[in-house]
Amino acid sequence: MTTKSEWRQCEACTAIILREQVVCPNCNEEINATADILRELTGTITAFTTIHIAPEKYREDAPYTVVLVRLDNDTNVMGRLLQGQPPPVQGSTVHLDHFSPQNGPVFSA
Amino acid sequence: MNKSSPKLRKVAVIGVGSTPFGKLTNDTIVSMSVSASEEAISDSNLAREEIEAVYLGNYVGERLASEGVLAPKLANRLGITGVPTTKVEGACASGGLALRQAFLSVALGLHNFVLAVGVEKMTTSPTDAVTSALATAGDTTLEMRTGLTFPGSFAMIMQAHMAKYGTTREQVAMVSVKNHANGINNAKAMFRKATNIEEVITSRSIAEPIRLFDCPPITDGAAAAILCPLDIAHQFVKNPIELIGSGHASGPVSLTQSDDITSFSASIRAANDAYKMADLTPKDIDIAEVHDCFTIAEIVAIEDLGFFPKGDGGPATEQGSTGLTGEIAVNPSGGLLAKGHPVGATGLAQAYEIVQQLRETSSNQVDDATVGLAHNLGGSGAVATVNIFKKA
Repeated sequence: MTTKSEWRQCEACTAIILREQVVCPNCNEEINATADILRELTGTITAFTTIHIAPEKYREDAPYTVVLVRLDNDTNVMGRLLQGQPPPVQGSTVHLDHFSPQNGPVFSA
Repeated sequence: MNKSSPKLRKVAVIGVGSTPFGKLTNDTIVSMSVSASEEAISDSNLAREEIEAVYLGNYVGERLASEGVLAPKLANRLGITGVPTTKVEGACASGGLALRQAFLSVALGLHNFVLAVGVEKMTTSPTDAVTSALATAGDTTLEMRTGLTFPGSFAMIMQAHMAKYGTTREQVAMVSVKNHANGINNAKAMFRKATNIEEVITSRSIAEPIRLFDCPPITDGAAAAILCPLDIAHQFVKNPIELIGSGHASGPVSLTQSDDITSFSASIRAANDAYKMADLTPKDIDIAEVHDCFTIAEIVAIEDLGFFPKGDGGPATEQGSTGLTGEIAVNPSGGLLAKGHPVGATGLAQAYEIVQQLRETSSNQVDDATVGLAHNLGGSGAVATVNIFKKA
């Protein structure tokens, strides 16, 4: 388990950058920020699903819950809900718990 | 097509073919593509050696059936080696893309006689291998590495549609009930058995709230069509069907890239382009084969295609407006849910049903059907094709 964030924040407009790219998808400025940020990121669950039939690679994890989260700065992200937490409800608040090497962002209630 | 588009020739479908859909134990991915093609060629009365080009839609053949270069292999089996052959891939819209490319090659005057075929072999692979293969249509970094699956994506879409529009679980389940009922009469369908709302809602959980009966089966199958210029089509068949409008668009590759996951921008754009080319509106469509890869996908599709206002898809389904005798007959073949969904074949299987309807030879014949639409979707909205057919 790693706690290092893969996400960066654009210095020009503060948008969150989810993947490798040259310019910010929000303000189109070249991305300079390298800040490892966002441990304190929070957002709202817009939709979620509990996966019972998983791809081969994640078979051992099932059932697990995947959440579509609208972060407080309006960026949409997909992540796992921390294993063992009860199924969420739409509109409930979550925070970024950590980044997993296998699953990417993991959120917690 | 924009203002600078070249003048397009009118295009007709003169032959169609389809294998039965199901678990075809004795057929390979290559043999199925040959069977469907031979049936389409025979149906068209065209001499095999007249075929000038082949477009083949396939999604996961290399992964699940360990077969590449399918288009040359098909041409080789058909005895037409030498003609240009192209495999196209757009996830579950691969078949629709093959038809679209065949249409363009005839419309643009590149070829007179073109074979479009779609094929998939899936039942020899375990379910989790199929799930993994299909999941390659999603963006890995943005969503699929979380363990999201396509049933999972559409589970989120169902949840969002219910929250936004008040669509009920029963209305969503009605799609499965209707399409299974339509499948009963379709001799090519994998499932020919009725279901009911209770059975859909209590079936095995796949990705909550998506249940087994909200999903299409894992299926083998192939379907094919022969296209030629409309002005010579009557030399071959009495009842050519004009392919009067065609649209194709790309869309977001992840649900995270859309602020409204209850609609697919690619479907809307492809439909608008097809309606414009055909000089028709959604009101003119009598029958439609839409991409019901999950129950909720049909409700989203009938809204995106303009048959019903956004949010009215659930009530329309519940009221029977999409039934065989409704306002617009949707998925008279049984759709992907009952007919089966051999992913690369689906777009051409949709065309197969529309052509049967317009020839008045469908097993679920809709009265007075003169215009039909086929809508094929790939990924969670990454690709869409819309093709519109009319009695010639």
